[in-house]
Amino acid sequence: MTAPMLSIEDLRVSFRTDDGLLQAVRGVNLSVDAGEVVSVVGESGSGKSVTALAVLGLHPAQRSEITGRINWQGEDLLAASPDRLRQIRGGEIAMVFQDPLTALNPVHTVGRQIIEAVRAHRDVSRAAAKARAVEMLGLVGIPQPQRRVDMYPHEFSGGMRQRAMIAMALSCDPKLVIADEPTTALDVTVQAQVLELLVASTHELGSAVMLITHDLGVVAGLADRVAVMYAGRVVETSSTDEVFAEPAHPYTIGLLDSLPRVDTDVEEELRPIGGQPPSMLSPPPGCAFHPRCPFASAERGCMTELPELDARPHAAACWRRDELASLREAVTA
Amino acid sequence: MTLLEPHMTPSADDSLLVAGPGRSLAQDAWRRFKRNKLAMFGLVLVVFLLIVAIVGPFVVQDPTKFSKTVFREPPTRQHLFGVDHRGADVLANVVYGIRLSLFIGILATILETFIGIFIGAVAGWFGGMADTLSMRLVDIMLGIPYIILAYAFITVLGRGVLAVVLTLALTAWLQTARTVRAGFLQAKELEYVEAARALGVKSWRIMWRHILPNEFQPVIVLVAVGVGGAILAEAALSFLGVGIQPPAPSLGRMIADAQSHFASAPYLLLFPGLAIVVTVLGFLLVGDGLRDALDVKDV
Amino acid sequence: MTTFVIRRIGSLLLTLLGGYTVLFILFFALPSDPAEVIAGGNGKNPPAAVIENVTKKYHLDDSIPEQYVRRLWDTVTLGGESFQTHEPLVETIKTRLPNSLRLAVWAMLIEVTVGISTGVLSARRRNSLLDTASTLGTAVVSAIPVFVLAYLLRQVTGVYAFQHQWPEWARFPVLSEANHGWYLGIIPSLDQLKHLVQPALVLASVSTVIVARLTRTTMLEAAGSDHVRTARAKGLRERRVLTRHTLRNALIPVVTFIGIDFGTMVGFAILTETVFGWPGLGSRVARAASQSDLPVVLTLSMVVMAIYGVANLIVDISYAKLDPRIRLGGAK
Repeated sequence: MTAPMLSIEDLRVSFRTDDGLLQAVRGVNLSVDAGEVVSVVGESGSGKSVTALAVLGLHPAQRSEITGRINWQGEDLLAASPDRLRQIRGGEIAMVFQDPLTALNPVHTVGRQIIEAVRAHRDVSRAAAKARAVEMLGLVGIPQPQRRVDMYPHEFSGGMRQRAMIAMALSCDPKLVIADEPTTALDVTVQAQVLELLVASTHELGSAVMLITHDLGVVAGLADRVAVMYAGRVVETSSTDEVFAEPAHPYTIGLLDSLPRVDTDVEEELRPIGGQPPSMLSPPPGCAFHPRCPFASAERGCMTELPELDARPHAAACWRRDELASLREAVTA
Repeated sequence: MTLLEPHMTPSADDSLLVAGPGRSLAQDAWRRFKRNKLAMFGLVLVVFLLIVAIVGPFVVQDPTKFSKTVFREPPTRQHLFGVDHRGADVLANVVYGIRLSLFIGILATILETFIGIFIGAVAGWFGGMADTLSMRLVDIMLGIPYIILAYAFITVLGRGVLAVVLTLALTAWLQTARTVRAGFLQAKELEYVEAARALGVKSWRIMWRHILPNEFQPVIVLVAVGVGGAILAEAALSFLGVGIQPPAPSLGRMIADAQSHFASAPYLLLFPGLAIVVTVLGFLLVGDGLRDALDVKDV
Repeated sequence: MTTFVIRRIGSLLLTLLGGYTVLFILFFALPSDPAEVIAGGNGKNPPAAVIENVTKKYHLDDSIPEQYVRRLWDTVTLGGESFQTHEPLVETIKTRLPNSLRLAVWAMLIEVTVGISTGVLSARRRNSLLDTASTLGTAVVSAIPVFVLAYLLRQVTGVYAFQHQWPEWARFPVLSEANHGWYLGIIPSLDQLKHLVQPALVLASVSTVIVARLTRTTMLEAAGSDHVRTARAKGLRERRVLTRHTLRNALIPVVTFIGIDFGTMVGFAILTETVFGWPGLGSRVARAASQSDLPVVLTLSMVVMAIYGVANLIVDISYAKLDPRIRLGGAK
């Protein structure tokens, strides 16, 4: 087995705030292979966006502390020079942000913004870069790209804006596209379209995707692999099918139970997860999920010992992993 | 360069950063105000000047008593700020000048605030013709150079202390009216206001009891800054010789008088000048502090 | 665009008419005897013959509507002359308006260069010494009356410098005149520069600190915005992120302020021009006011208001160029 294209090892990110040190990410391990679609799922505040921004080194240096390793094709991005990091941003790893209205600069045309991305990484003429912009806008399904390229972001609809954002991200043939909740800010009606387009167009270019979302539902048909995050850590990761078929962490179980299912005939009640995510200024001792976990047990160490992600192919971080199946039956009985 | 704010970090979620329960808005604002060193410095200046204005007259000499032998004398132990060209004690004149400046500034601002609230409230609440006319008037008056406008009012009202107060008030309500109007326009759309209207509560009652208290924050900032502005304006008018007439002790006129002696007796200019700066600075700093503490924007 | 400009010009004319009306009412309709005011100068008791002369000269015994129309016509055509000096107002404006413009242009240059660069620097080094100093400096400069600031400057460069034999270039004349030669009407000769520096600095002082603060605020806002993060995520060089994305967006409100402020400086430099004896419109208006030369005050005020209004109009039009989200005539 060759080394994965991107592998994040024991990443920790903290921010200094007025109220103390905020531990946003507390030891994340995560990998993405070439061409693969990996989805990172978690509630807002679980550290998934912070992880993504850390990969590109977009956290402000004076207010954040970052440790661990981010291996990108054999080099450690946390140790990379600013110049090298700049080449990687957009050139090798591109990012699609949540809200295209604020993520695009309102005073420049969409075309100009794509052109400067292209010219930041390729030594091409303005005209060639513009041709590339038009081509990319066409690729992401924007009608009349020759005309649209000279329009401003506010003249686009929400869905079109996000398509333009995707076109911009793909314009330099990145090997990896990180999409941070790319459809949350969009109308429900266009969310599915844009997501499918994102995955399809990256597939066409052979790029890998790291899809960050809070909605386990959107992951099902699109991602090859899923990593579930909770309170700054990955608590379960495996192929999408396995995670859906046999969730191995109570939090994942909770997420799945709170999804409406269309694949069963049984009338099931939706069960939201009770309680609130923990404060990252002072995360609870032991497993961070234990205050909300129906199976938490003092004897197993849930309240005192932090469970590590185990080494199985379908990895999970839970002290009672092997008992979960029987525990669930006992609860439903 | 790292100007970038941290991206919405997870636990920067509001729930974690809001102040603890049981703390009122005023207490919260005071807590923030106290942490602001410049604002506290401004407050100390204002309190100090108020004390000077109240206690000063009992301490200093008679500002209208002219010495027959001493003219234009630099500061001595007897005359801490020196003696002016008429033989009067500069310290006494400065103290009385501060007193008058504060009196004029505060009174004019109180008046101006009432005018501004009234016009702004009527314009914002009733809209239509009342709004169009009053806002057009605001535009017009803002277009006339301030000193000319004030001078025009003085032509009508005269140059007594109260006339000048009235002039300053009549020329300074524009910003207050604009701010209050904007607040009323917003408030009109709020649900509890609509509910009160639907219930048939009288207009003036809704305005007075429900909307005005919410306008308190921007107005209080405008008041603090306004006192400083009024004092500056009075000084400018007196300096140009179109303000308060003697013998009232105006700091602006002291400076204008000192003008012809400024090469040989700079202290005649320095002390009244400093008095104006310190007074205005105090109010401006307090105003800035209030703006931050109350989180008021666009004022 | 054209309809917008036409509508704005119409609105400007209406405002000017309103301004004229306000001043007319205050100067000529409300005072019990405007002739006495004009003849008396600064609160003196003029002889009856002079009052009668003034009344005739300015038609002050006509009915108020007649006076309103006659005076409006005089103002629009820049007719009439000073009561005190008998100089025709057209001449006054011809000689003084260019001086006011020159002073304002140079003050604006100071405002732009010093204000914007200080703002950018204090935003980039937040909480540094420069940043704190500019916060306090803003309050202090806004609290110093222009005429006090002017005297301080004159005391140092005009009096102290001569007394203590400072080098020639650090000594400045106490009074600033504007007739020592200009190239292309706007570039001062070396001798003129000496007369220009002090009033330009004083006139620019308050505006400069406001621009610095405004720039700092908008820079911080822009720097924290999502699209700047996008720009960085695209792999742009920091220099480009700063110029094309941070500064470009941050400067929109700053440019707007400077434009409006220019209109203000041309006509509202009353105190600065008076202190330095700069022969512009402002010092003339101040003198006319202290002599109660009401017709002069009225006409010059209207000229100044018109300049201010035109500056505002230009700012509004260019605003749409700077921010494509703004459509002229449409909602924001």
